[in-house]
Amino acid sequence: MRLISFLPIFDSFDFRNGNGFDPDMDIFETDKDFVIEAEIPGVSKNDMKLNVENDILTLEVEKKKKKEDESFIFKESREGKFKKIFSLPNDVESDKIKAKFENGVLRIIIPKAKVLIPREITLN
Amino acid sequence: MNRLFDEFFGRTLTRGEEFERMRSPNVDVSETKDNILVTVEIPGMTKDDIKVTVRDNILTLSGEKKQEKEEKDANYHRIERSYGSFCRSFELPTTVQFDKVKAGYKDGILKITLPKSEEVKLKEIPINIS
Repeated sequence: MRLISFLPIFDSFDFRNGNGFDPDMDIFETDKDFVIEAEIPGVSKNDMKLNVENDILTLEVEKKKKKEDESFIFKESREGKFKKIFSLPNDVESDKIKAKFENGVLRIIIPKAKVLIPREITLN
Repeated sequence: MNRLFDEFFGRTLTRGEEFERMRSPNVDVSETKDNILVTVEIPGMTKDDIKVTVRDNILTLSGEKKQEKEEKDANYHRIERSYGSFCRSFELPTTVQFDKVKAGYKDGILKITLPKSEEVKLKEIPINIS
């Protein structure tokens, strides 16, 4: 077991192809999990792809232009393709990663391996 | 253990007061044949946290995006989302049927449909030029 991890975690590489579509993200950890939350409003589940390979997590999102016949008076929202590659911390259970999309927020839960979960030690 | 060292090297972030104001949400205003559409990107909210009002010809959108307690206490590695309250107002053209304004919230998008008044629609009849 490694005691110290000097490797950067959740470093990410971004690929963008659009007019500035770049979802806001939070990454935090609780006692049991690492959690990534991304704000991706107006995208359907089918336009998102999440992939884990070794310790690399890839999130790909395509936000399509609206098809409706409308002319814009003004527009602040952005569309396009977005791809983010994260390096995961070492001690995670990558086969147990779960993701949920609700109200435009994608929540990815990455369970920590047992070695990282704080536990109380009984005194004899 | 990791967390201890992260903190030591200053990589762990915590949410402070400065994050309590939500960034102004992205708004699109567009026009179709029958309606004026206002689309607002406000992910992570519930219907009950959003208020839409029309007074005279001013449309006001407001609300509060709340953060779960469990998340507030967590250790952060990256912070980009913002929480708190927001408010935006728009002056509407007087050619909108204010009593027929509809709003819905789905997939993080608030969509407000403002039907154009009949007179405006009549004006849009194409005229053949001989």
